[in-house]
Amino acid sequence: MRFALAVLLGRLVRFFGKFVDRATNLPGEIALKLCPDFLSRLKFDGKVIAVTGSNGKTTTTNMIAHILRRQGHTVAINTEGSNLTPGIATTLLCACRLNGHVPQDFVVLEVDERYTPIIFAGFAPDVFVVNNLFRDQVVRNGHPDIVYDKIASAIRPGMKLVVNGNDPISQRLADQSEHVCFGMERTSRSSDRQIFLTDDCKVCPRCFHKMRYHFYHYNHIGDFYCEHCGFKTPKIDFLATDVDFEQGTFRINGQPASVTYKTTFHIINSTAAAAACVCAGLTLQQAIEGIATFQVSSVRYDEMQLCGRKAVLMLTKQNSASLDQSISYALEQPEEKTVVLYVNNVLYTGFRDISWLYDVTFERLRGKVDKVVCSGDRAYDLAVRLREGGFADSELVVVDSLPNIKQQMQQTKGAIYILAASAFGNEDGILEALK
Amino acid sequence: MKDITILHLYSDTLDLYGDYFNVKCIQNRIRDMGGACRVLTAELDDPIPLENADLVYMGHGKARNLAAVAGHFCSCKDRVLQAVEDGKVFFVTGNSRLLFGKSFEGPDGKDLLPGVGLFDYTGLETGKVFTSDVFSRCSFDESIRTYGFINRTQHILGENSCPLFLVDKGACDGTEQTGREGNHYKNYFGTWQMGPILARNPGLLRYLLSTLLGDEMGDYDDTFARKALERTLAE
Repeated sequence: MRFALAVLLGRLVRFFGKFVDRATNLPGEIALKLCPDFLSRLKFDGKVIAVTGSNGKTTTTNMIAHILRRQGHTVAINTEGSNLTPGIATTLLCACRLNGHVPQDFVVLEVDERYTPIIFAGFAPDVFVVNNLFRDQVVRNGHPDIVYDKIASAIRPGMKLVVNGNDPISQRLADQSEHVCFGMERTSRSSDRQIFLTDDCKVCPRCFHKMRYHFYHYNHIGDFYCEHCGFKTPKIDFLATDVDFEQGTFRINGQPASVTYKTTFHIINSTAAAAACVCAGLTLQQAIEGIATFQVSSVRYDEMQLCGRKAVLMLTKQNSASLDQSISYALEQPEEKTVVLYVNNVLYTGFRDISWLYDVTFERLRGKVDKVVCSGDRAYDLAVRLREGGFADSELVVVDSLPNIKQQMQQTKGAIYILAASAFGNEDGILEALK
Repeated sequence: MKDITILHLYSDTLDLYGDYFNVKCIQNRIRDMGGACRVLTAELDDPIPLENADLVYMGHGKARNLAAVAGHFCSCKDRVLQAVEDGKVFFVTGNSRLLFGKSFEGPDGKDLLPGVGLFDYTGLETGKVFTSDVFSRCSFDESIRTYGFINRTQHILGENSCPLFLVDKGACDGTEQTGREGNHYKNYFGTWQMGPILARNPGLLRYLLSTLLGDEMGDYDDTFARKALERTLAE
C-alpha cells in the first residue's frame, strides 16, 4: 500500500513538476520519503544495466539504450542525467506498475559513482559498466581512490562487471566479480609518452612504484604495466582495432563498426556500450548496428552561428579530463579557430577553487589557435593559469565583464570553439553575450 | 643570482589537483628574475637528496599513496629535522603535512602511520570528504591576504603554536574554528590548502622567494595574479 501510494504521489508530483522544472528529482525524493525501501521493492521483469565512471557515463548510457531500442526492446532510462538516488527513483516510479513490477525489457541507468552503494543496496544491476575513474570534481569526489572504494563496496555477487581494461584504476574492480574488459589497441592518436598533465596513475595503484605504458590513449588510459609487481593491462574481451578517425570506422573483435563522433574517447565509450549489450544478451553485430546510428546529445555538443562566425559549444564537467577531451576535439578540427574558455565558480557550492584548471593541458593550444579567450567568474584565474603554462599576453584575451565579450571577439579570428566548464545549464550567459 | 635547486619529493606519488604548479611558479618567477632553477625528484625507495636542495616541496596525494611513502620518508627523519633546524626551505601542501606531525591514521582508519615529529599534532582519518574555501592572512605579515581551498578526509588534532595562516573564514587545522591553519617554523611552510596555492597567492609566493633568495631577491610582474586574487577576495 505504501509502495503504491509512493508511486502514485510521485507520478502526480512529476506531472505538475514539469511546469516548474522540478520533475526529475522531487518525485523520487517524495516516493523515498513515503516508502524508504522503494528501490528494494521493485521487481524487474527484464535486465538492469547500470553505468558509472568519471567521464562519458551519460553518453554510454544513452548509447546502450539506443542500441537496445533499435532492436525493438522496451527501455526505461534516466535520460535526463539525474543519476543520484532520487533521480533514479523518479525514473523507476514512472516505469513500474503499482505492484512494483518494472515491465520493460531493459532498465538502463546512469549512476553517480558515489551513490552506487546506496542504490545497489536497493537492487543489484545485472550488468554494471565502469567507464573509467579519474580525478573528478574535487569538491564532490575528493580523489579517485575515494570513488574507487565507493564503487568497490557496491559490487554484489552476480553482477556482471564491464570494466575498462586500459584504466589501471577501475580495472582493479575486476578482481571482485565476474567481468569482461573492453579496451582499444594503439591508434594514430595514441602516444608513447604522456602528453597530459592529468595522470592519475603515475605510480602503480597496487605497489606505488612507477607505472609504465606501451602507449597512452589519453591521460592514464592506455596499455599499462608495472615492472615491480606485474600489474598490467589484462586480456581485453572487447577490443577496438583498426581505428580510422577520418572515416569514423573501426572494428570490435574484428567486426566492422562506425561512429558519427570520431574521437578516441567516443570509440572507447562505444566499445564499452557494445560490451554491455552483449553481456545483456544481444549479439555483437546488433550492438554495432546501434553504435553506427547513435548521435551525441546536442546538450553537450552544439553548432551554431555567433558573431557572424561558425561556433561550436562543448559543455564539459568541471574536471580536467573532460576539458582535455574538448581541447582534443577542437585541435582535431583543421579550420582556423579561437577557443573561448568559460569557467565559473564550482557548481552548486560556489567555491572559488580552480585547482583543477592546473591539471588541464591547455599548453596544447599554444600556436594552434588564434587566441584563447578567458571568460566567466574565474577569467583572471584562467589567465594566470595560462601564463604560468607559457602563454604570452598577445595570445590571450581576458574578458573583464561578460557583456564586453562580443566586442573583444573582434580581436580574434576563425571559428569560435566555446569550452564551457561552468557545467550544465550555466552556458546561457555566454551564449547570450555572444549573440 | 645563484642557481636554485628544488627537490620535489614524491612528485609522482603525491600528485593531485595542480600541485605541480607550485614548483612551476617558483621556477617561472626565478626565471623572470633572470635566475636558473632545476628540479630534482625522488620517489618511493629512491635516496632522498635533501642536501642537494635549496627548497623541498611536497604536495597533496591520495590517502593510500601518502600511507605508502610514510615509512620511506620517516627513514630520513633525523636528516629532515636537522634540515629544518638548519633553515632549509620546505613548502608542504595538503595531506603531506601529516608526514611532519607525530603520527596519522591510515586510509582505513586503523593503521597508525608515522610522521617525522617536527610538530606535536596527529592526524585523524574521518573517511569523509571535507571541503572548504579558506580566506586568511599570513601570520608573518597580516597585510598579506590569501585564498585557498581545502579538500581532505583527515583533521589535525593538537595545539598549533606556529600557524602559517590566521583564518578569517573557512576551515582550520582540525574540527574546531581555532583561526589557525598550517605551520610556519623557521623556513618550513606547511598548509592543508591544496593545489596551486602559490599561483593564486602572489604575496605568499614573494615571501617564500625572499626566504629562498635572501639578498638576491629581485622583482617581477605579477599583476595578473594580484588582480585574480583581488577578484576572488572581493566576491
